[in-house]
Amino acid sequence: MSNSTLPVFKNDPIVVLILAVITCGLYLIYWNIKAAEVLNAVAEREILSQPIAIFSGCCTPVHLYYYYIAGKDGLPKLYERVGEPQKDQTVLLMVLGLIFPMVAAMVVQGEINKLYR
Amino acid sequence: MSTKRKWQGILIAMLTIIVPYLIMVSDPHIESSQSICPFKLLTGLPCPGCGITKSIIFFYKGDIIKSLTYHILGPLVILFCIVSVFVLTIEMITRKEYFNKVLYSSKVAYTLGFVLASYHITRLVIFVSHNSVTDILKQSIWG
Repeated sequence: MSNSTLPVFKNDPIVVLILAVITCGLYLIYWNIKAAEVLNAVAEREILSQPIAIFSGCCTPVHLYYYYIAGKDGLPKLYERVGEPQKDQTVLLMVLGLIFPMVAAMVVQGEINKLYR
Repeated sequence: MSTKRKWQGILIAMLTIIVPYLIMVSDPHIESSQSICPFKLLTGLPCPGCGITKSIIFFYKGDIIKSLTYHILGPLVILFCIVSVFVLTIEMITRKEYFNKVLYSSKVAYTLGFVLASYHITRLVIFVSHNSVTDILKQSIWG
């Protein structure tokens, strides 16, 4: 799959943070679905379930699992596609996902944006 | 979905069921406990998931009304976790996939998202109309 056929979900990470805070997490529901859609398209298989992405907004263990899958399966495929060296951000994303979910979303959004350069 | 992911799914579902039970046993004054939600600590307002642990705890205690008052999706989360454990176990035994159609459906995701967002907006409106700015700030780190 070429980058032009990927779903477009390009946002400034700061906008993700601001929208997440001013909507009291509502934006993160939408963000979770869209990020799952992009990472699934990059991996060319279903790695992140979109309904589970919704539950991750309600439930901490599911939320941690969402970032675990994103870090273990989603982002490595993304780095492969954009030609960047591999780095494992799973633990960082899980810790941020637990304490500051909006910041974890910012980190993943920053990585997703690399697809549209 | 690989067998490893299925095991992880079962583990997460079990944790979601067990952790509220452990909190219920260890903290009898859960109703008056301070929320640890980062959104609530920052803004004083509830996030879409706020109240779900208390909802599950009151569901375990058999107080369905209180459970639904804390979060309307609390009992649904428990049901979803029980079904997940059951279906994923069956899938591993039979080596067939029964869950994928629902698990990877965008339609299901957007419907759930719409329900959660509508509930959250309604809850926010009620919360703001029933609490003064001082009361809301008291529930955050600024109060």
